[in-house]
Amino acid sequence: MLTFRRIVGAFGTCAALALAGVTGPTQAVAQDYPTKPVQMIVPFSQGGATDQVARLMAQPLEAALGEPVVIVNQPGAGGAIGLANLAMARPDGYSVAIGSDSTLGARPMMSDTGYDLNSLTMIARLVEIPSGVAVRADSPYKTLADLVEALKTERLTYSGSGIASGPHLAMAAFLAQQGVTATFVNSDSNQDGLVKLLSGEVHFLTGGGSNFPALFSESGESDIRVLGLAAEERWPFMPDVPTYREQGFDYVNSQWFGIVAPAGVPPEVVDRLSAAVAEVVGSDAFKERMKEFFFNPAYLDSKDMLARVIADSEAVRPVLMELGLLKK
Amino acid sequence: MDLISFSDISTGLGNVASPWVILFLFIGVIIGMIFGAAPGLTAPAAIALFLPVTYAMGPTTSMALLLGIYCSGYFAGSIPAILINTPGTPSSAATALDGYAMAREGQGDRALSLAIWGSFVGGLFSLMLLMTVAPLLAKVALKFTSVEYFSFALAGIVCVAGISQGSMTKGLAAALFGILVSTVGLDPVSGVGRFMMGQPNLMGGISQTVALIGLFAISQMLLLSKQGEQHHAILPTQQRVSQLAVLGELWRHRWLSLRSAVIGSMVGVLPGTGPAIASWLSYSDAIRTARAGDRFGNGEAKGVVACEVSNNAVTGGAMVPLLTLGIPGDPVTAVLIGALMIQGVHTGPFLIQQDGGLFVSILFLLFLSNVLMVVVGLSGRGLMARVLNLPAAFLVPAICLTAAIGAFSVSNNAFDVRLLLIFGLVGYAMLRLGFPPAPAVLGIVLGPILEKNLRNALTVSDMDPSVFVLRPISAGALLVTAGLLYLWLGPRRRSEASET
Repeated sequence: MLTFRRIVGAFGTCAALALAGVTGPTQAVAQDYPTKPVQMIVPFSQGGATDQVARLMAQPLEAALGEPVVIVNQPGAGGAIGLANLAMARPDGYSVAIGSDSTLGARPMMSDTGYDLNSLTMIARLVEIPSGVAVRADSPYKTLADLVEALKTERLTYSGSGIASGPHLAMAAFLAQQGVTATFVNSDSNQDGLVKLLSGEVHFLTGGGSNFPALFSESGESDIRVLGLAAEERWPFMPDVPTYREQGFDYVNSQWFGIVAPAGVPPEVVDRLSAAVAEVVGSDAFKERMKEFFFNPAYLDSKDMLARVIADSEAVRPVLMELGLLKK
Repeated sequence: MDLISFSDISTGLGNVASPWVILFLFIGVIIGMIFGAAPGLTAPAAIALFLPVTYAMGPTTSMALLLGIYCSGYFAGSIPAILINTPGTPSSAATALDGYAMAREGQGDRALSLAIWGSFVGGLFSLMLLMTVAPLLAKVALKFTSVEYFSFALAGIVCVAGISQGSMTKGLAAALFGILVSTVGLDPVSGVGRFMMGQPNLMGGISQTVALIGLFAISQMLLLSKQGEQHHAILPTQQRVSQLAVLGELWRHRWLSLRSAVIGSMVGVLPGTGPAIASWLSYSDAIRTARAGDRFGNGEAKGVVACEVSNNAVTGGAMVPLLTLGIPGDPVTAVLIGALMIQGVHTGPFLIQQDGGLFVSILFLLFLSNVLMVVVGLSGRGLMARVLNLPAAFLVPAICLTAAIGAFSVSNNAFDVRLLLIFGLVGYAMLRLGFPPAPAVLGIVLGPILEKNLRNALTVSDMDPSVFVLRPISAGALLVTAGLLYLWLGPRRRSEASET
C-alpha cells in the first residue's frame, strides 16, 4: 500500500509540475484570485496591538475577498522572523504578513535577516502612530526644548522598545538632527521601558503615542509627562500635547504597520488585495475600532507604501551608521 | 481598604455570580490542567491559543477562562515532573528534582497532593497581597532597576552549586551550556546577531520552552524507549495518602511555605521575571535552611513544597503590576493585557480607580480558580498516576507528539520542532554522560536576565561597577549570594570532599 501510494503521490507531483510548466501558475491563479484561504502572518504574539489590528482586519477582509483570512502568529526578533519566513513563501498572494516601519526598513540593513525590500512586495499600509517622548511627572524637563537644552551639557539616558526599533530610531534621528546625543538603554518592550522610566533608571522614554493615553486618568493626572509627539498636527487622542514643530523642532516621524507579500506576486493580485484593504481601512467601523487602540488609519497603496519604506530607510541609514549598527 | 468601595464589591460579585462565568472558569481550569500537564504545552501557550476565543465574550467571562488556565496551568506542570521526571513547564523543573525521587519511593501520591495544596497556599497568599497591598508592592517593584535584577539573578544562578549532585564540574558545565544557548540570536543590548549560522529563524534566539522540552521530555522519552519495559520495575506501586496527613505535613513546613510564598509573590511582582525563577529561588532558599537529615534531591518533601508554593504565588504577584501600572509581571499577564484591551479595558495606573468592579471580579476569579484547581487536581490525581501504568510503547510516542505540538505552537514555526529534536538528543547525551539537565535550564532561564541587566546597568552607570554594591537592595542580594556560595563550597563541603 505504502509503495502504491508513494507512486501515485510522485506521479501526481510530476503531473502538477508538468502542468505548471505548461500554463504558468501565476496567470491562471491571478485572474480569479482568491480561490482559497489567505494566510496572514502576524510576526508578533497573540494579544499585542498588531495582532489585534490583524484580527480586526481579518473579518472585513474576508467579506471583501470572499475567502477566509487565517491569522498565524509567528513572533520573534521584533517582527523579523515572520517576515523572513514570508519571503520564502510562494508569491501567489495566499501568504501575506504584517510588516512595520522598522522591520521593513532598518532591520535588513543591520544584520542578515533572510529578507530585504527586494524579496517582498508591498501591498498596503494600514495604520500609523506618531512617535513621542515622555519623562516622569517629577522630571525637571517641562518641554522638549528643556530636554534638548539639558542634553547639550549633561549625559542623559533613555529607553524604548528594542534596539533599532521604530521608537529607538525615531529618537536617535531626532537627537542627531539637533546635534546632541543620549545613551540608549534597551528594553524588551515599551512596558519594560516604562518600568525603567518610572524607576528612575532612565531620564526619558521614546515610544509610539498609542502607549501613553492609558497612563492618564480622566482628569489628566499621571506619573508621566508627554513632552511632545512628532506628528504633523496635534494628535486627536492627546490634544493637549504639542507637536515637535509647535515647539520649534522641525521633525515628523511615525511608526506604522502595513501588509506585505513575497516578491513576485502578480500585479493583478496586488491590486485586488490592496483594493480590499483600502475598503476595510476606509470603513467607519474600522476607524471606530482603531480608536480603542489609539491608532490612526493611514492607508497607502502598494506604490506609496514602497516609496515610504525607501524614504524611511534612507533617513535612518546615517543614524544606523552613527550608532554603529549598520551591517558590514 | 480605600482601594475599593462596597459598590465595587457588589458589582464584582454580580459579575462573577453568573453560570457562564463559572462554567468558563471551570473549563479554563481543565484546559490549564491539560496544557500544564502535557509536556511541551504550557500555560502561556494555552492562554495565547484560547485568547482569540475570548474576543466574543464579555470581560468577566474572558477573564474567567484565562485566569482558570493561568492558575491551574502553573500547578499542572508539576504532575509529569513528579510522575515521569518530565516537567511540563519550565517552572516545574525544580519540582522534578525531589518530586520524581519521591515517586520512585512510592510517594508519588503524597508529592502530588503536597504540590496541589502547596500551589493552593501560594495562590491564596499572593491573592491576599494583591487584595491588600497591591499599590505598595507596585512601588517596591519600581525600586528595582537593572542593577537589582542582575544581583537577584546572580543569587539564582549560584543555585547551580546547590543542585549539582555528584560532580560540581558537570553541573557547572551544564549551566554554562544553558547560558551559551541563551546567547543565540539578536544580542539584547546592541542588536547584533550571534551564533545564528545563517538561519533567520534563530534571530529571536532559542525558545526557552523548546529547549526545556527537548532537554527534559524528549531526552527522558529516549531513555525510556531504550530501557523499554524495565522502567516500570523501577517505579513501585504508589501509596495513596490521606489529605489530612498532607495538610498536616504542609503545616509542619509552614515557615518554609511562608518564605516560598513571599519569594514567589515578589518575583511575580517584578516585571520581566516568571515562575521558573521563583521556583528556583525558593528551592535554593529551602536548601539554604536545610536541617540535618533533609534529603534534598533524593525525595525531600520540602523541595516540592517550596517550588510549588512559590510558582503559584507568582500568579497573584504578577497581577499587581498589571492592575496597578498596566505592566505585565510575567509572560502570561502580558497576554492578559491584550485580552483586556480587546474588551475595551485599558490596563494602566487608573484601572482600579476607574473600573473597581472588574478588579473585584478578578480577585474573586483568582480565588475561585485556586479552589477549583484543588478540586480538579485532587479528583484527577488517581487518573494522572495511571499514566505510570501505560506501556512505554504508548507513553513515548504520545509524549513525543505533544512535545512536538507544543514546540510548534510556541510561535507556529516548524523550525522549532527541528530545534526540539536537537535539544532532545543533547539532553539524552547529557543524561547518559551524567550531566544534570536542571542546571542547564537554570542557565537558559537566567542567562538572558543576567546578561541584559548587567550590560544595561553598566551602560546607565557609565561602566562604573560600584553601583552593584552601593545600591542597598542589590548589595543585600549579593550578600545572600556570597552566603550561599560559602554554604555550598565552604569548609564543610570541602571537608566532606576530603573524607571521601
